[in-house]
Amino acid sequence: MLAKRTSAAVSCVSNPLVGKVVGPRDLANETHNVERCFLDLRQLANAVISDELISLPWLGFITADPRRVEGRCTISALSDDTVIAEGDVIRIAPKARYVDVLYRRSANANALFVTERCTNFCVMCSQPPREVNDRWRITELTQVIDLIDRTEQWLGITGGEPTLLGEDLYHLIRACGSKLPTTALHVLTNGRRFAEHPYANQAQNVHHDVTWGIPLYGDVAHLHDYVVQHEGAFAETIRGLYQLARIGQKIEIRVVLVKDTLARLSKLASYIRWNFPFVTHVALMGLEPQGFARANYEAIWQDPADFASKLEDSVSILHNRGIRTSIYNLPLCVLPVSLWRFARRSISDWKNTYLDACAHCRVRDECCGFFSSATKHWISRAITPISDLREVSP
Amino acid sequence: MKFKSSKDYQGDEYRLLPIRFRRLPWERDRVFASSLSGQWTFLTHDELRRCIQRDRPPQQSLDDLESVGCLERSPEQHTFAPLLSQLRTRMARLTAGPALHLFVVSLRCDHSCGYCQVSRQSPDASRFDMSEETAQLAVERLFAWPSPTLTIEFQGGEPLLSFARVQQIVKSIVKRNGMEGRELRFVIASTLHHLDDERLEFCRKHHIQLSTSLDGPAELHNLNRPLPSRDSYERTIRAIQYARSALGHDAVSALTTLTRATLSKPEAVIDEYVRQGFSSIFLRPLSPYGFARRTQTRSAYTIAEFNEFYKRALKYLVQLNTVGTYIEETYATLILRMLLMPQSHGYVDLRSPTGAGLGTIVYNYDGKVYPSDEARMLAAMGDDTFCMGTVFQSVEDWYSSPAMRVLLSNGVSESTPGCTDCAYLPYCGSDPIDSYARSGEPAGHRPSSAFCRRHMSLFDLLVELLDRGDSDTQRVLESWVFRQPLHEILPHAVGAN
Amino acid sequence: MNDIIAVEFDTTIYPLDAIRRAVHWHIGEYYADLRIAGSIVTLELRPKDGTTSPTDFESTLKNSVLDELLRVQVRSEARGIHEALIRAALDGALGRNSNSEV
Repeated sequence: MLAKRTSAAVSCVSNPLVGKVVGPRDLANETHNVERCFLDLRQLANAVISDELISLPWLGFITADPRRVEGRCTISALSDDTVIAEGDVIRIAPKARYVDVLYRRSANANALFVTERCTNFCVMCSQPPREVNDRWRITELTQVIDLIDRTEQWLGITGGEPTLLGEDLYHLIRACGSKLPTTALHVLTNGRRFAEHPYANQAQNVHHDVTWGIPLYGDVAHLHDYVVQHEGAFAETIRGLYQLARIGQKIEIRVVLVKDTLARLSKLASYIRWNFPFVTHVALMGLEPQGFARANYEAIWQDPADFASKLEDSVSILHNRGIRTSIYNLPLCVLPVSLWRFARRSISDWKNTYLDACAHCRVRDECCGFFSSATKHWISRAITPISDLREVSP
Repeated sequence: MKFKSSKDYQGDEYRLLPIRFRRLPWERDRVFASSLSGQWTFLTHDELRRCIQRDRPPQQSLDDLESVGCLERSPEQHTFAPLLSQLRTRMARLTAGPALHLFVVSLRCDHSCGYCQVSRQSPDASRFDMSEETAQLAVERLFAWPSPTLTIEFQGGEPLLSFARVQQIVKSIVKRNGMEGRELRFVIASTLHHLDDERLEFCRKHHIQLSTSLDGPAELHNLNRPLPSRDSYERTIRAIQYARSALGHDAVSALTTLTRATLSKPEAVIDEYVRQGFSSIFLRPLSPYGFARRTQTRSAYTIAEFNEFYKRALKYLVQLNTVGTYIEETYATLILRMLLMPQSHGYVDLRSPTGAGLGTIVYNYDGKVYPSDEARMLAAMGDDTFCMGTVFQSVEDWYSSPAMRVLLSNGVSESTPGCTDCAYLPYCGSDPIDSYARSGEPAGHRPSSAFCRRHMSLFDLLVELLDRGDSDTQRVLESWVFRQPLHEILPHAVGAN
Repeated sequence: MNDIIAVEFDTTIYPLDAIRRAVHWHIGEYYADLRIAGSIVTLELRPKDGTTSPTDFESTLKNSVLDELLRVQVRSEARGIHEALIRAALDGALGRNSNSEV
């Protein structure tokens, strides 16, 4: 688990700066202008660090010893040296004593965070919304997109609710399409705004490979509306789904497994199968113990050991129909073996951890493990290392 | 921050949407309830009654009914989008016009099948051939409707005995389609006995599929389909292999017609289909037309006898599938698909509004035009009630014919007493011609009609299997419906709900 | 047994309409006779040739009438929306005004 922020000493900065970290490997490649890059001196052999190299108009330097680059912008005294690495896109700001990583080359997943505002208020939201004017994020993100590796296979767009950006969301997506022509996009949205035809129509041809990931928490309105705490959200989301389908968009339905949703999970699977057979993927997701989820623990938590058969039934309903289905955020030991093939290593590495008990587990490497925010009462009573694979062959 | 409880999102008010229901014959205090679009759920009769009569309705039942489109709770929270989407899909088919066009190119045939519905003529009687002019006019009419896909099927008699006419029609349609851009499918329904290299090459060139009759193993097939040389079966098998070698394995399909002789031997018929490498079998009962009626006492069987046969056949098919032989029963798959997916299907005989005239048109050798094959057979027996006109007339003339008026006023099950409240209505069809042929009336008393009783028992059987079939059977049925190999079909967990 | 089956209904609970509709399901196999005396309706069903009544036919009949009563209620509540839905669906299928719901 690698944090996205580390405290540091930052000098000679008068504006927020976004730049690409360049190290020994990328030096030769020159994929970006030096004016947009931070040269990472930590990895470079002394022989390479010539005056000539340093005199180039780098944005700044990452170094253990700022004196080598007097008068230039430096980032030093990182409390965790591993947080920033070659290829990452970082942000520093005047007076801020930390560095933020906005894109990490080595991460298993990267996302563009577009806004903290949201139109839902989900009871288990791991990223509680805030009513702030954060339009500055979009501006910053257009710089970030320029600096992301062109080889990046996919990129998330998330928030808050990205469609609150209106047309700017489409501009951002188009920018991704042109700057990163082989990168697939995955936009997390509640889908409600797509109930508006003119807005939905603009999604047509906006990107060569975009999937819209839309949560659905129930097959009946009151259930979904309760989970997202907004009356009418279900109706808008369903209409939005049909609008996106009408224009041939790729759609993923995401179901976070809160207690009330679990009570009708098989019916929800049947509902998806009947009404949205065109979805390209369904993700059934274990809870992330962060944000609002913590406050609503009693209302939302159910031990995975107690919903295994519901999960099996729901997966079979979708899978048998040919709908690609995945299980996220549930460790293998709490899943019936028949469902292991659907479980994914879904937890972003920067918030991923394993328990001591996992050290001797034979399937640790295939298992998603836990959220680093998980405390005892978020961990199933059924967690146990798998010691003998023969016992569990399906 | 303040969170509302789930109760805050649940009102007490609700409005019923159209619900149709049927008590389960195998458990009469439970019902099958379906919505306008054919989505359905099980619930107890008491739960349904309490929901309808507002007598302490159980929350779960209200949820289950709302989920399948049978009731609307808070209007602010409700959306009709799913119901509308499905209804629109079904209706879109109507505006496309007939997609299946049957050309009866000749009545000449060299077989003398007891159940023949066609009033065959001797192989030399060329006055029973379709003329070039008739064929050309029919081709022009075909494109009058906008259907993006067109299936053209050649029937007879034996179409291969009039192959020149078949060729003319195919070439003419392909040429005309150059401007139209429809997706074309050609099928020839034939004994296949008169195939030769030249005919096969023509079929290969135009991707023509062949549909033949295979009634079972030799003794059954030859009994049903006598030739003077008594070797119809052997010739058919040889011909199937011959055709496949030129056109590919899947270019040949087979239909079976069941007579009393076959009813006691479902396994033998199925085994024959497996032996010949077919992956589907269509177990359809006899209809009362053509020669079939004359030989009725010998070949006929009751609905009850057919049901017994069918259950046995289904059981045997499930067995075969579980040991690795994929073979589906076509009719069961068609119906199950409607129960498990909101799809239209191409089978014109099970539709409302009726497929006759609206989904299919038959161009007879003599230039007369009929709304279905059954209507043409009735005419061959002397009753021209359902003739829509001739190829010399326009499509508008056909659609304003008395025949069409009868079809439209009797061919919509939603407005037919006896059908209008049936829970299986979304999956069933209307067939006024069948009703007329059997009872003399296009409407008649539907619940006691052979069509209804046959389908009702089939729906009941399949719904019962969905409700409480064993796991193997349910998995096999799902593999047919979803077109997946059996090993990909996961079992449903017991007690999950 | 091919006897006549006679069942009484109280029309304050089971309206005549429901009884008639229930009978309609069976007129293929039975001759039906309805006698009305005040609020009591006596329904007599005489089996046609070839019809054998199941042993619990009387309770099946009563269930049928109850079911027709439920259907009457569904129809009266859902009629308006039924028509509106069909109309909206047709409009959509014909490419007219497919944006709105009912």
